[in-house]
Amino acid sequence: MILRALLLSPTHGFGVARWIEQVTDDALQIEEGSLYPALYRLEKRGWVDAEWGLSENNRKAKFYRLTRLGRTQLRTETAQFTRFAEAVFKALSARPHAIS
Amino acid sequence: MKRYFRILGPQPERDVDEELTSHVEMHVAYLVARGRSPGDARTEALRRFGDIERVRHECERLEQQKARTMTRARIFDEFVQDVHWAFRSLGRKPAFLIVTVLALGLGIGANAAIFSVVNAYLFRPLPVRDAARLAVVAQVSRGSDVPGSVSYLNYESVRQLLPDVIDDAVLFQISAVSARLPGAGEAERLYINLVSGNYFQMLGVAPAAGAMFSADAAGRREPLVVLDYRYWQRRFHGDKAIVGQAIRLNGIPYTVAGIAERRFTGTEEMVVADAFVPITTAGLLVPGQERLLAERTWSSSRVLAHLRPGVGIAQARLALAGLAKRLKAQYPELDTGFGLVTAMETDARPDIAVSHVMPWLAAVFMALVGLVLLIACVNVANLMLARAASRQAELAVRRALGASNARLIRQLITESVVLAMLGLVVGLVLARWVTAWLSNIRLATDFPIRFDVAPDWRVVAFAGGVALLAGIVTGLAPALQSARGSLSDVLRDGARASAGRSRHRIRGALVVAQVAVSLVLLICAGLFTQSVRTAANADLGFQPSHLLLMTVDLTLQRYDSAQRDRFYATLLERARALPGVRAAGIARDLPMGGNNSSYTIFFDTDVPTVEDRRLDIYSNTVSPDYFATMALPLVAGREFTRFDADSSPHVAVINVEMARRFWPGQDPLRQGFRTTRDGPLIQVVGVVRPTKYMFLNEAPGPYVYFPVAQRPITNVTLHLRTTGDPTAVIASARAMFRTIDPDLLVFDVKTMEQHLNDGIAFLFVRLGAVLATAVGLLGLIQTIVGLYGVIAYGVSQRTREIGIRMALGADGGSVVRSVMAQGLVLTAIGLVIGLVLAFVVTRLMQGLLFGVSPTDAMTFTAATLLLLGLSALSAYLPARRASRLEPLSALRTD
Repeated sequence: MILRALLLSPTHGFGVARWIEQVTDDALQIEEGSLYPALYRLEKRGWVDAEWGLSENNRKAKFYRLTRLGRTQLRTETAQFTRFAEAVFKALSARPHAIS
Repeated sequence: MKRYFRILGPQPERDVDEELTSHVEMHVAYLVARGRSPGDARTEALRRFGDIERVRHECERLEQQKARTMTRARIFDEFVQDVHWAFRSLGRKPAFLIVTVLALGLGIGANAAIFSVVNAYLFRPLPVRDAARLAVVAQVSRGSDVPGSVSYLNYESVRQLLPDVIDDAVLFQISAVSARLPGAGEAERLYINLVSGNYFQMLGVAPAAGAMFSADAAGRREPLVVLDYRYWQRRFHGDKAIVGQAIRLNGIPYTVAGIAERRFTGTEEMVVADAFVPITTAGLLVPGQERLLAERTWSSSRVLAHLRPGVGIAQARLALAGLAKRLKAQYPELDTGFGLVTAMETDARPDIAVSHVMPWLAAVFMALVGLVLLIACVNVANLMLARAASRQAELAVRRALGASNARLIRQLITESVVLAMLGLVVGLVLARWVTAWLSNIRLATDFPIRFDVAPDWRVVAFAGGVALLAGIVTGLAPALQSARGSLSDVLRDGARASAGRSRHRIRGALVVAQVAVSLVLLICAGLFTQSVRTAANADLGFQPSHLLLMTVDLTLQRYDSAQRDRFYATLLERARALPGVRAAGIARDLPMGGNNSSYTIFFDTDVPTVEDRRLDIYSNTVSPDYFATMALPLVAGREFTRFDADSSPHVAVINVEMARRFWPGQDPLRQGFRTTRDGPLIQVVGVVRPTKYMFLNEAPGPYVYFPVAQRPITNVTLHLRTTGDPTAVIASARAMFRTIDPDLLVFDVKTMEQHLNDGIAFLFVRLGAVLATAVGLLGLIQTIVGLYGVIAYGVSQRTREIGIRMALGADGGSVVRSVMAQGLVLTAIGLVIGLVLAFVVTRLMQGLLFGVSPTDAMTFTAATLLLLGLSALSAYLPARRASRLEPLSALRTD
């Protein structure tokens, strides 16, 4: 999810939080603070790069950018998640007698 | 950002704090822009953010982890780069590479070789189970506080009565027997280890074939024998069919129970027996010897004990002292000085009696080779300094491009460490050669002595450590030098002369140090060599030249006492008649042969310095004419004669020291003593001068000789005093033995000089001298090369100056003088410092020298002159080259 947020352009943690808020229509009311440890872990794995820069309204902020490795990872994870979601969806929509 | 990281290291706390604050601020601004009041917006932003402290904590932890991995990765990357760079830059100068690697290789090799020897004698554990818990147990008695052999009954007491301290103990003693192998016509001499029944079980020795004999079988006194792996390979070519067959030891069939595994070499570092036999069968091998199992005072064995885990040697020492006291109270036959002592096995080599000098000897030799390596390091450092001068420009440019000083120093040190590692390879090969040579030294005796000093992992680890240290030390001086000086300096002066003055001073100081150290080494080598020469000419108390020695073992012959006496009489008579033989005698022990037995002497009246009227005194058993054959002068009384038979009054010859100590101011020829409390009185009939009995540097002690007819012995050495070359008599003497008894085994044939020089008497002193000389020469060569290098480099730096001088009319002579003066001043300073050092150092080796003062003037002078002469030569060569410069071409060198 975070990786997806960074796919379009590099942004800071606040930007990621707002992006998630928008695309999920605020359905996932996550604690925004928990984004940061996640971002740091991604950086440690080398999926994102971090650099200090200035935000739109001239505030000092750390910008995260997807690395090549991160992009590949995003592709495989998306594919996996989609398969998983499809499977769940199929299971839920199957008619009960079809099992026996 | 990067810069900030490098200087101060990562600061995760500040970064995380800034980032989180920035998030909240942006959120507040975002909400305010959507019309919320600032206070309201802040509350909302903080609510949405969650637990800010927990997040901050988590982030800091992650950030720190990341920083650590990054630093590690960066250092490793740079290290790989440095190594790569070192190889490339060294590859460009093959001559420099070869010279430095050889210099370091010789130094490291010398260290590794000497350490191999030290390792073998001080560190390498015996190849047995739980070797780290093994302790040697030895007995002391009154009159001799030198720890010695233990009796079988005392061994049993040690083994059984101290269960809190000692798990178990083994006993063993080396003995020579005649062996007749299946299918072999002639008997051969075999050294066997008579061992306690639990020997193999306690030491965890596995069989290579068959089985080891058990304690039960030994208890039943079964004639079983276990063969040493090497003997099995040598004599039976590893044929397992020998297991179960019988070999005859002293005529008794012993069944081969098995072959000990290869890695097992016995329980003494220096001795390898050919076979192992239960000591309970000792009486089968030698009639009467079974008494050693029953007499508490028959001390002839060595004992190794397994201390209980967690028991220290101090505790064991106390426990044994207590046990000795109990035993002494219980058994009146033990003398008042009886005691039990112990030392860890590795601290008791080669024998508990002499092991205290080993660490000293080791320290002296390690120090000597350490100095050689130091000289080599100085040489290489000097060469690197010279090279650094020509590389000044390169380094300055690198620094200007942003390489830090620390990084440059690391780079240069990496280079010298790479050199040292190449030197390590050379050194280990050298050490392998030297130790192979040492391991192949054979003593002039058939006693199975072994010098196995082959390097093991400890040696490799030690050499590796030494090489690393040498690399760092070598690189440090040039690196620190080069790291100074800035780009502008270099560009202004040109690559030639930057920092030249101070660098030249450092190199001069290094040469001074080399000369000093080299002088110390030369003096040490000279003193050792002098010791050997004095030892060779030392007054041993008898005349060692023109003596032939031949040993026979009558045990196999099973003569009765009449036959034996007849044999000795015939032997002496015929030997005297041999052409080229002036005199012949028989003795049980050879001087300095490593075999010494003592008798307990009982006095009828009180004598000075002797408590309780009894004392153990070293002895020999000899035939008539022995003293004449040895040219050992009688001071009073007479020699033994053929009339001193078993039936005639018992007699003894004593040495002057014994007479002086026990009967001062009295006529020794009127004295007597006994060898058992109620035995016959033994009359002193002669007094001889003392000789060297065991060691070269021993002080004369009391000594007693008994006649061969009154002290039955079966293992004797015939001494022949010859008119000419003793070896010329060997063939006729062998023939003579065959005519007396064709079955008799004659062995260990050698001259007395061979026995002394290549035996345990002198060999170690001689080896010491050879090693010290090798080390001294190695140091000398390196020093001369170093001096030559510095002078030659100085000349090359001064080429232009010399050219100008010569163009202005200076002649060749004055140039030679000026260049040589530079070299000789350095040498002179080094010599003065070296002499002072030598006075201190040689005093420490006093105990290792024989018959030469540690400040021997001749040695000091000779070493100084040698070094001075060679230094003058090594300065003269570059000086002469300088004087032949063509002024014009010299001026053009820049």
